[in-house]
Amino acid sequence: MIVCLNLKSYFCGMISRTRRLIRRTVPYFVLTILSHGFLPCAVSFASEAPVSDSRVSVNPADTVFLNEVSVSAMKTDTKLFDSPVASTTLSASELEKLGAVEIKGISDAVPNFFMPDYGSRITSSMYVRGIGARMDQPAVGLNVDNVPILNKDAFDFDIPDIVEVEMLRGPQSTLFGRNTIGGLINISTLSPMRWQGWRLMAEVGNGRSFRASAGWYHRFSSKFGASAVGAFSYSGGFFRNAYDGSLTDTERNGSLRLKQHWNPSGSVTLRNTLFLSLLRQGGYPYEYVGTGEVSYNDTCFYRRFLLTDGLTVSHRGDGFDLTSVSSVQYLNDNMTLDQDFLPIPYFTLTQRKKETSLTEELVVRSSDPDAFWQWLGGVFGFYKHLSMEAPVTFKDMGISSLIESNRNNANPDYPVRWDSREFVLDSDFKMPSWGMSAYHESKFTLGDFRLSLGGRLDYERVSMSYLSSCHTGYDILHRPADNMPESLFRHVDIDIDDTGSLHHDFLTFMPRLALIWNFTGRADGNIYLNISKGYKAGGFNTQMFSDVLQQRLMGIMGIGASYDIDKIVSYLPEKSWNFEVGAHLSVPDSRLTAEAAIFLIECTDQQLTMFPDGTTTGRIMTNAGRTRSFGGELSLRWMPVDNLSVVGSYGYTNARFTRFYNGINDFSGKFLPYVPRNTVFAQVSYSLPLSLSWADALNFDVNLRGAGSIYWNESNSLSQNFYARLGASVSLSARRWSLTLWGRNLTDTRFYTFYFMSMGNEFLQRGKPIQFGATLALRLPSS
Amino acid sequence: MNCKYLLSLLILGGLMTACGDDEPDSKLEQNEQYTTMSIYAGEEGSTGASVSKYNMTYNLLGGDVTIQCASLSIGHSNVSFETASVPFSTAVIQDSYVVNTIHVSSHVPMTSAGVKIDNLSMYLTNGIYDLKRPAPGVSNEYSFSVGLFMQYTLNNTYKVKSMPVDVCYGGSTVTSFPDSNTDGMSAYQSDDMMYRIVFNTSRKTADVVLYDAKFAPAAPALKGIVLRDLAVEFTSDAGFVVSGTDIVPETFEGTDASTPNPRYSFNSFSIASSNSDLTKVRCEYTVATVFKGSFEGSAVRPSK
Repeated sequence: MIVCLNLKSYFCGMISRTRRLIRRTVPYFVLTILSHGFLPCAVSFASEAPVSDSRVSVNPADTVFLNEVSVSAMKTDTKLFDSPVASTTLSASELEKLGAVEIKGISDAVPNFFMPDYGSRITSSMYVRGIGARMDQPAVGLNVDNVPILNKDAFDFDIPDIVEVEMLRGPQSTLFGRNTIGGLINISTLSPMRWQGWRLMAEVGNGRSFRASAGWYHRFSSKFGASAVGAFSYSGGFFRNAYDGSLTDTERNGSLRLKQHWNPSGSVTLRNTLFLSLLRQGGYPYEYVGTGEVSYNDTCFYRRFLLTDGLTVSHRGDGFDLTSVSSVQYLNDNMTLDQDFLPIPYFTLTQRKKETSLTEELVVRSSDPDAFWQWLGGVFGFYKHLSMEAPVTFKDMGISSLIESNRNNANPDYPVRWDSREFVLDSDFKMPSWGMSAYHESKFTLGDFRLSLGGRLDYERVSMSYLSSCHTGYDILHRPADNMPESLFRHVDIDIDDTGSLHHDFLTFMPRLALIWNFTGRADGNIYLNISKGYKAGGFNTQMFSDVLQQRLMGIMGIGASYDIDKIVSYLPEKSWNFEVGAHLSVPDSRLTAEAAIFLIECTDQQLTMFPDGTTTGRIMTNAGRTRSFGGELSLRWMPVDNLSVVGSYGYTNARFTRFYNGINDFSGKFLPYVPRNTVFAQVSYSLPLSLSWADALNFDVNLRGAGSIYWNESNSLSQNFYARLGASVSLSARRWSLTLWGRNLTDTRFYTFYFMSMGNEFLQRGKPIQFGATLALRLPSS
Repeated sequence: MNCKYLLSLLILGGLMTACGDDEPDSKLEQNEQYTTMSIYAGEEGSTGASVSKYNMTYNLLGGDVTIQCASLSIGHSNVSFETASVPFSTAVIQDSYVVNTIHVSSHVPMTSAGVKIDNLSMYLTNGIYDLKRPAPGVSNEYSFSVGLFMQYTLNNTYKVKSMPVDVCYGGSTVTSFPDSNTDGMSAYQSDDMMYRIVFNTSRKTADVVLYDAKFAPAAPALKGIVLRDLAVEFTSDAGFVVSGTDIVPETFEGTDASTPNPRYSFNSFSIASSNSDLTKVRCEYTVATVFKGSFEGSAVRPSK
């Protein structure tokens, strides 16, 4: 059966049929992606042929069988509406209105989901309901065409021809495993079996931005199809470096996606997606609070090559469905920073990584939707190997102010003078890790009630071998008296070649219980209760090694406490318990769907940065905190009249430390930093049908996205107030093309997306200013 | 055969000896030698110390030990003796490592070659504070992982107390410092500072090393401060006092080297034994005229 979202069914007064169609009694459906400017607002089963209206552009070619594409659909209910989980689904047209070609673009639009845009594409900090991470392991999982992207550094990339983005909020650890403690994002792209032809797009905007993509989709036979999509984007940047007048946040990005879809038999399907991405980015427009300027003298850039390939093999057996998802991922990147972000030669950092990952997952589930007992089970395994070089180069001012002055303050009668005004603290790492897990979930349906019980046993082993080296030296001078010349007292050679290895094993069980009550009538929907455990993997924070090596160097100079490397760089898994009550509602007569949820999350062993006992210098990453997060979400979609749709969402999160003493201060009771207390999204879209031979409709869209307030530090002494950005678009569309004029942050709202401190200096990054542009899209189907 | 005691002594003495299937069933001996500093205090008021070696012969099956001393300097004389067999007891504690302790206590006078030994008590353990790191210019010759603390009365005339020549003390240091936040003095506590004393009995001096010295929250932690050649005084209780004034310390810097640091001059420094068996000390110091510190600590790690 094919289910199409179609305005026409309502326009023609097919209300009773629509109501019947909304009752999902079949497991499979197809989401019809309307052309630019339309919202999905009605559902009809494929037993009815899609109704077209010459006055309304409908592109039935943009269709895809979601359940066949997404392994997440194998694990959850076919419709997330029927699942005991808070979720948001964004279609292609909705993503286009938001200007979202990557997951940062849906920040704020999804309630309680916040992914600030700062730094470079290596920074993929995501927060869901107060759960998030800035460094190392992600707190939200990301699947793209079934490939679980393991490294958070690879989360931020442009994806052409997105069909749908699903965001599941709350821990998904039972079914989706490690690093989904905050939630899960599933992205599906267009399949060549569902649409054939050419898709072209070109876009220009202010900030000297340009995007273009070309996609070729072809079905060679009823059993085999392939597609190739290339995309390129360029941005000239918005923020200028006052030091040399250059624009800091420039970007060039190219990608290629090759997809193959093969049905060798009626019961077996193979889908393979190869994705390549090359990125060259400036980035890091960090503004020094002292001057209000972005100004730094050393090079900052981020370069990345990304390759992912995922093979999904599905088999429909007798009473069961079996799916295998295999993936290989390769990441090669280089992040180079002026680490002090000042126009002074302090120090620079380079981080070069090469990471290869392999994953394999087998999922089997019962395929009888009417059975009392439905079950699914699976196993997952992964292997990752990361090689990283992370040299920190100390420069003249860094040597004099951070090293020489500290040393000379401790012994001014015997001051030191470095051999050269630049030296390197070098750290090389090899980090292999692997893990395996097994999971199961059973669902029991009794009338309108369904009980789900599940559990996952997860084992992971992380290892690290390191080589930290530094070869430099300095003279110790001595001035016997004020009017006496300095003489050389002694020379000190610094030769550090420290090697070592660390290992940790983690074994965790993640249970889940959910109860859902379905109701029908004038309104259809359900109310659910969800109790689940979340898990974020432990590991090693290599960023701490620069601290370790610096302390090692200071130690040779006779200053500083000794560091236990394992204690400094290792961190344990983070765990949470999530308690949630929610509801999904659909009122066909009112053309309204709504979702609501309230939640309570207790998080233990929170991975936080703190200072060791008794010292004000140095920092370690440890599992020191307990946090409590509670709040709620509300989303609705409404069509008050034909061709007019209203979408809104609101999220509230109150996330605080219940325990966090960092060795110096007690932050218990304080709000978690970087977590917005409110997210707001509102969107009104109207489509005016045109009786023109060359154009079908004129579409208007206005949206508002807001977030805040956001505290920037644990002491809650600095914050960003709530801010909102206005977006709008006007598009002229026809069956095969559309032209859109769009604007984002039209009020040029000034806000900050990130704050940090470095060497006692405060830095902020501004959000992007007003943006506007035009997009031309062509759809040239083969038939 | 009971290897329980053998295991303890193997850990303590570091010698590998087979369980000895060919040994007689009634006796299984283990010999260990310990080099210590023996402090004596005579009834007439004479005091002194020397480096001496004690040889212990453990009867592992019988649970007793004889203690021999080949040469003990008392004043201008040397004495040697061997005690009778005295019972010993052991204790094993699982800390971060296995801590073995041997106790001996005997108030039965023993006479050997004209030397009378009485009121013997011995405490032998590997649960002492270990040397954190070598100090430049400070000998490691007597740095051992086992500490022997022993005391006895010799010929009813001399009180003799033995302790390691090179000993480390750990505990809590409280330093008062000028606090700009309060315009007065505040206290800073450090449990990381360790005090090491290396005695030179022939010169009656000692080198003192302060490890991880930190005198105020904002002050840098210094890896090591060496106070060289401080005067040693032995007390009438066969204890010790190590002290000095206006000391220019040397701070660790570089590989096996140190640098004079007049900024941290010790206006006064004194560290003295504070209990009978010399396992505890009390220390007071003034640094740079503003940091006034006091320390109470033990050579034996507290058990958890």
